[in-house]
Amino acid sequence: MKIEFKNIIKSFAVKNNHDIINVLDDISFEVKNSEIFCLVGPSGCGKSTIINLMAGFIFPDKGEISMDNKLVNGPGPQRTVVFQEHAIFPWKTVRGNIEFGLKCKNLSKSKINDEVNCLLKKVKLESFADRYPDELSVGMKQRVAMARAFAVKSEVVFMDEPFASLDSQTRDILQEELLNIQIELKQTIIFVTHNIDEAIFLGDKIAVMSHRPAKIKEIIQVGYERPRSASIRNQPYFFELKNKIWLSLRDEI
Amino acid sequence: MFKMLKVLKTILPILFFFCVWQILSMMGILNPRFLPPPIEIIQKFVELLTTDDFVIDITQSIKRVLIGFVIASLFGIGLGIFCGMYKFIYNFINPIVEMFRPIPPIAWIPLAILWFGLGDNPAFFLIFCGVFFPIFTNTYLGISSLDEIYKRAAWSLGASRRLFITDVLVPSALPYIFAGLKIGLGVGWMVVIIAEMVGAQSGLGYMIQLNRTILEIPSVIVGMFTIGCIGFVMNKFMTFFEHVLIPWKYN
Ligand SMILES: Nc1ncnc2c1ncn2[C@@H]1O[C@H](COP(=O)(O)OP(=O)(O)OP(=O)(O)O)[C@@H](O)[C@H]1O
Ligand SMILES: [Mg+2]
Repeated sequence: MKIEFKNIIKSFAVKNNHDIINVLDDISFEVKNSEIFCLVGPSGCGKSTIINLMAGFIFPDKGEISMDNKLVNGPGPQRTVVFQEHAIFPWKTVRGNIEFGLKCKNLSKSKINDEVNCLLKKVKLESFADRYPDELSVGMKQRVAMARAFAVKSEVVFMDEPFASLDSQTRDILQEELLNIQIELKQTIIFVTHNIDEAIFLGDKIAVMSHRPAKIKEIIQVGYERPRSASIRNQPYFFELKNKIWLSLRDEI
Repeated sequence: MFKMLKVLKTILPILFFFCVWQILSMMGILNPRFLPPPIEIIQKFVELLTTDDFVIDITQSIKRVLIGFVIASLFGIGLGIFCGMYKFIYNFINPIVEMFRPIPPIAWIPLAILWFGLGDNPAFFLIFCGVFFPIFTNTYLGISSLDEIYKRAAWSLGASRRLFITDVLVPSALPYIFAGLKIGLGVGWMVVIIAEMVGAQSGLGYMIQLNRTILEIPSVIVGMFTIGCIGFVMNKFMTFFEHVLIPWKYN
């Protein structure tokens, strides 16, 4: 699915006084079908706000957001979100959480079971299937959130720093897993991260945002083909890109 | 072993209480006409258990409170869910609820008897008046305090309206609903006794009242302790159900 983000302006009312804060200042970009589009930027610049807008949870003050030329006017199952706060349901087990999205589709019980087992394996939580989120570590919760979002096989997935609290090994493995899933399902993915390595390894394009009120400072083409092997992380070109993004980002922090 | 120690720790003070009472009675400090000694009360209790009347009184009270409680729960939970989901319904219903809430169930007794006569029906009505409010308020609170992020998650995963209610809204509110049910059952048990004291021909409330008029004080006290014990057991039952139905909170 193609996503267009056209001249978006968004501000929020501040609760205590009558001020407003301008968060997004005339932001435009386009994400092509099956592209992985990474957003990097300083904390508080409005990355989560962009996700919320695209998911249809909130609406822009000015500008238009469209998916395949249809205006976004609310949330929908074609656009799942992996939230920064993971947002998995505390009253459901790991299995129950992953199952949730599948329950809305007309699938047989056994089909649902197979899908869930497969996903549990991918995120390495088979032995925790019947535990409640309270009993999991933050990293495990994030993996559940990711499995839950991928279970529904939507055409677009928004991921808001999904791997932020994982150790770097698990993070690397899940990044590779994410790329594999994406090759299989051809989803369009918007991926927010603070980690430049992660953005380069996953992204087709990387948008660098300025501090608030945010603009898109530049959009960098990564240029690696997919599937990607883990070894690209050691190539000189990878470091070159990383340096370039870091320089661009540094002025904003 | 550890568990037995815990039980002993609870029982010991109670035993102590009864011993002091018994000794004070034997020393003649407590007048048995006003407060009979525990031994006499226990004898009375054993004696009463063999009579049909006492057993019927117990089952009548329990039956009344359970029926009234179930009716009030259905209304309270149902209305609470609707109000939690639709702000405009809440805005309309709440002033009416707040108007009736401060009226204690006891104040309804005259109307209850006028409308429903004597027996079960006024008791059901009075129990409803006591039980509905805590259940309604807690359910509303639980439903309306669902975190926005869970709603967003459900919608973006394509939840149907029905799935949203059964798998998100209600389970998330269950701890609140149970808090309301527990309070409600406690209130209901109090109200049924009062209702029976004034408007029934059976039940523990009636039994206490009857024995008062014939100055059968040991029977009065047996009735009181029975009420206390049943109330205690009912609360334990609710806690048990709570643990079964809300495993994510109590594991
Ligand atoms: N609902 C809201 N009401 C008021 N202000 C808000 C609201 N949501 C976001 N903001 C403000 O908008 C700004 C951008 O928030 P946002 O969460 O999008 O940042 P972010 O880039 O995701 O930050 P981080 O990297 O720390 O997650 C912040 O200053 C925040 O305080
Ligand atoms: Mg954020």
